[in-house]
This record gives sequence, structure tokens and C-alpha cells, in this order.
Amino acid sequence: MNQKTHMLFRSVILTGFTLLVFKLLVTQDLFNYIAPKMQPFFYFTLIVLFILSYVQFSRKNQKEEDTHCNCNHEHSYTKSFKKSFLVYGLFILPIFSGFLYSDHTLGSEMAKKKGFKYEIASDSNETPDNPENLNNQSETKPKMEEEKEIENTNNTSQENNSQNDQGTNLNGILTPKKLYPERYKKMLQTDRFHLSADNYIGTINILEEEPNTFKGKSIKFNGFIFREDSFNSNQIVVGRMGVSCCVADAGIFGLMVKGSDFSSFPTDSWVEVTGTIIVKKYKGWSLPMVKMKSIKKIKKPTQPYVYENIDFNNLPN
Amino acid sequence: MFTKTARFFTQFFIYIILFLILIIFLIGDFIPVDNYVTVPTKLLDINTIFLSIFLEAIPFVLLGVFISALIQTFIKEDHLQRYIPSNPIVATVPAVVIGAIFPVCECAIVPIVRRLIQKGMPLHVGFVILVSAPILNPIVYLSTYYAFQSTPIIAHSRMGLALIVSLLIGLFIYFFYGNKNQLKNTDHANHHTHDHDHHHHSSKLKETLYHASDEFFDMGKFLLFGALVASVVQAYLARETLLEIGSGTISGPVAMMGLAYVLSLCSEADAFVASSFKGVTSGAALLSFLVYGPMIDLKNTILLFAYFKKKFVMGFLIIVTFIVFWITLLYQLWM
Repeated sequence: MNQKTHMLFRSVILTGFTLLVFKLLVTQDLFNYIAPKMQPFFYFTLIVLFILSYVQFSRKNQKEEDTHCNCNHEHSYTKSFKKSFLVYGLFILPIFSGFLYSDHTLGSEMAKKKGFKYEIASDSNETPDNPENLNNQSETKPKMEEEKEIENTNNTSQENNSQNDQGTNLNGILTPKKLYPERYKKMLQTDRFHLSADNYIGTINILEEEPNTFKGKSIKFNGFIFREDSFNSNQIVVGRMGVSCCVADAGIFGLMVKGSDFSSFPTDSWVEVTGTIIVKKYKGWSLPMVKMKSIKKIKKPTQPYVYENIDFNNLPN
Repeated sequence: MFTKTARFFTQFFIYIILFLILIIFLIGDFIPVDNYVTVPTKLLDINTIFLSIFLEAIPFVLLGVFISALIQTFIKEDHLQRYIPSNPIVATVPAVVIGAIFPVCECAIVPIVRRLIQKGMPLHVGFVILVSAPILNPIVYLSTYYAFQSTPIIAHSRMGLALIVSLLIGLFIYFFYGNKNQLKNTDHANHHTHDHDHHHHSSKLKETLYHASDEFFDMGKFLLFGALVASVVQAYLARETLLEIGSGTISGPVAMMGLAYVLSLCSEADAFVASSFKGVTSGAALLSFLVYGPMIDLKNTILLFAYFKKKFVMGFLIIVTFIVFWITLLYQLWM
């Protein structure tokens, strides 16, 4: 392959990438790959790719000796046809698969590879409701009732507050309690949790850290259905994929739901669950679970992932 | 060799690809692909992870390419010679400082370091920067600190161990490779890069852009290949398998280093992934994950092959693995 053909091939590929990044930005499908906080970098990328493809196109029309970039001729252009096609094929593949399948998001298949705690959770069900479990929980009960009494007086107003604030409460989702003091405080104050995309990771992390504190409260959340092989028909995990940078680091955030027969709800379908938080003990781990009250099928949200959005400027020290 | 008709057909073929790209860009969303072909979910998952690793790296590769182009234009060999201490062991210290000051991630650092070494920076000094820049930086420190809020010692130890490991890597590379040229196809690269006498009509800016485009393709093929391998491995390797192997004093760090290598995460995000293993593995195993991952991983190894000799990259991989493993083991004993 001569250099002119290389130049042409490269300009076509750069154009393809420019169009792909442009489309991903416009349709917001980019967020199926990358967390929203990275978006500015992709405006930069779009501009650079656009300039590069323009330059590359103009370059192919120049004489060969003018096209060198003056850096020791270290860039070689392979003469072999087979090699060139293989290499450029590698570039063209993501352009096409990106255009065609950018709406695909990770589901239960990957969650299975990534999640391990639900395997433990399902094991614990072989010894359901053991008495020692109850003993443990009774320790925390008086404390909880105390708290309930205190907040009973202004319960309703606070619940309204928390509902309003949830949308704006973006900072510090990941590490429980300290990292997310407001969410923690609100969770102590309310008896009903409604999980939105913004507080999803925070709430589930807090629940996993201190399941006993929130035992008995009611919860409403959505997610896709995920099953381990060892689950029986009345257990599912409902969760969403949490992403901090790109989906290569995605992990499932979710809660195990116990209740009636779930066999009419296929794996990977989206549901909204309402229920009560219960706690299961397993080898010293306390695991939060949800005892289902109602479940209904919903449409897959336009933004199926939840993102870890840590604002380093806005955190307590 | 290259007949006129063959050239014509190749160019025709390329224009067809361009045409297809335009078509798919304009009406791709309206083509009901799913009706004609059913692609297995697994393949789609691999595609999604592959694209996400690649897309995430592009901005930083481009940044790295431009910084390396700037170095090419503005930094002269005498500058480097003047500022780098002549004692090879002392020279690693400023390298770590440079690595700590510049928050450059692991994808962007490769072309930069290549360029610096080409400009006459000693090999081991360049590699100290290469391993320290992605990990010893404020963003990584903060994200680790918040991912392990309840045990801040993890964040402090991560930085401390990274510092020690970076310096040791520099010393080992100096010991084993001295200052031999380990760059790929560089006939005259180690000498003068600025003695070009042939005057080009093209401006400096155009040259930089040509250079950036060439480097994008040179590096891009390795990046794509690395992302492809990493995504396939991710889709088929269950984390439990690795964790089952690794709960012991020695097997723990080994398993976690293997995981860090395979996942090829960017250093800003890996702390959050590591925090999901809290309670499953020991602190030392977590640290081996956190220290090893930013310094070397699957994607990066393949990127290094783009610029450095195969034998050297393999040697470097072994050195990094060896040092991180022993340092975390010592840390475990000391704690």
C-alpha cells in the first residue's frame, strides 16, 4: 500500500471517529460508556479529531515529501496489504459497532462476573431466620424506637424536605455516613426511602454499612433483575450498574429482594420494588435485604447507569 | 508491486467505507439491526467495555501526543542534560518529583516518556516518571482517600509504597539495562532530533498536526488491541474465581495484582473498584492492587510494545511485578 492510500485510509478513519464522538455526544449515548463528569474531555476530543481529519485529508493531496512530520521518519507506513487491512480493520471495527450498538448497556451477565456478595447472601438463606439473628437485632431495636419517637413530631415535614433535596444532593456518594452525612441524617429521620439515580449508590452503601440501623423502614427503588445460579424462585437482586469513570469499572449496586414467586419477571427486565428492609446474618456479616410488598414492571430508564459523583471540594474533612 | 488497478480498487474500497460510515451516521439509528441479526449479549457486553476503555483513553492519548509534540519542539537535549543529575541514582529523585507534580494518567504518559527518552533522558529516569506519574498525584490520592474513608491508612500507604516502588524500579532498570537504547526502530533518535536541514514549506503547526495524526495511528492500534484483549478477559473472568484463589498472605496479593493487570482501569477509578473488595481480601492485597494497576496493566503493556523493544517491555513487566509483590509482602509483615 503506498503512502497516498495510507493517508486516504487514515483520513476516512479519523472522519469516522469524529462522527462517532459527535453522535455519542449529541445523543448522550456517550454516558453508556463514560461517566458524565468526563464529558468536557470529549468536547476537546471532538475538536481535535475534527482538525486532524481535516488536516489528514489535505495532506493526502500533497506531494509525498511534504507529508512527513519532520520527526526522524520514525512513523513507518507498512507496504504490506494484509497488514494494513488488519490494522485499519481494527480501527474501523469500533466505528461501526459504536454506531450500531451504542444503546447497549451492561446487565446481569456482567453483574454476575462482578458481583460476589450476593452469592454469600444466597448462601445465608439456607439457614433462614435463625434465632441468633433475632437476638442480635434486638440490641439495636430500643435505640431505633427512641429515634422514631423523637422524630414523630415533625416526621411529615422532614420527609417532604428530603424528597425535595434528593435531586440536588449530588456530592459525595460513595463512602457511607461520613462521606454522605446529609443522606445519612435524612435516612435516620425518614421511615421511607425513595431511591433516585442521584442517591442510589449512597443509600445502598449506607444500608450495607449499617443495615441494623435502618431495619424495618420501607424502601422504594428500581433496577434490573439479576439472579445468581443458587437463587430459588422467590429471591432476586434488583440493582443498577454504578460507574465511576468508564463502564470497565462498573459494578452492581443493588439489594436482594425476597418475596413471592418472581418467575414471571425475567432476568434483566426492569422493575420497581417497594418493600421493607430486613437484615440477614451470615458469618458475621449483616446483609440488608428487602422483603417485597409490591413489584411492577417498568421501562428501562433512558439512563440506566448510576454514577459515582464525588465532588472533592464539597466534602467534610 | 503496486499496480495502478490495485491502487484504484483499494481507493475505491476506502471510499465505500467512507460512504458506509456516512450512511450509518445519518440513519444508523433507524436501521432495525436487531431484526436481522441477533448478537449474543456477551458479545455486546465485550463491545461496550471495549469501546468504553478505548473512548476513555482517547482524550488522554491525544493530550499525551500533543505534550510530546510540544516537548519535541521546545525542549532541547542540553536542557535535559543540565537538569538531570549526572549520578544515575540521584537522578531518580527529581524524576519522582516530576511524576508527582504532573497528574498525567497512564495512557498519556507513554508517548511523553518515549519522547523524553528520545531526547536523551536516561532510560531508568524516564521509567521512574512513567510509573510514578499515574499514581503519585493529588487526584489519585483524593479518590483513594474517599474510597477508603474509614481506613485512611490505605491512601497514605498507597502513596508511600508507590514512592518506594517507583524509586526501586528506577534502580533495577538502571542495574539491568544501564542506558542502552531500548526504543524501537530509532536509527538516529538518540542523537539529534533537531538537526533537520531540509526546509519544509509547511509551517510548524502543520508539522505538529501531521505528527499528532501519525502518532494517533501508531499508538491507536496498540490501544485498540489492548482494549480488545482487556474487554474479552473482563467478560469471561469472574472476579470470584480470582478471589477464591487469593485469600492467603501470598496468594492474596498475587490474585489482586492479576486482577489489576487484567482490568486495566484508570488510576482515578481503581480505588472505588478496590473498595468493593474490602473485607474480602487483606489490606496488603488491596494495596498491591492499588499500586500495581496504575504502574502496569494489560492495556499499558501493549501500549509500551508500540515504542519499546519487546524484550525490554517483558523485562520491565517482570521487574514491576517482582518489586510490587515483595514490597507489599514486607508491608504486610511490618504492619
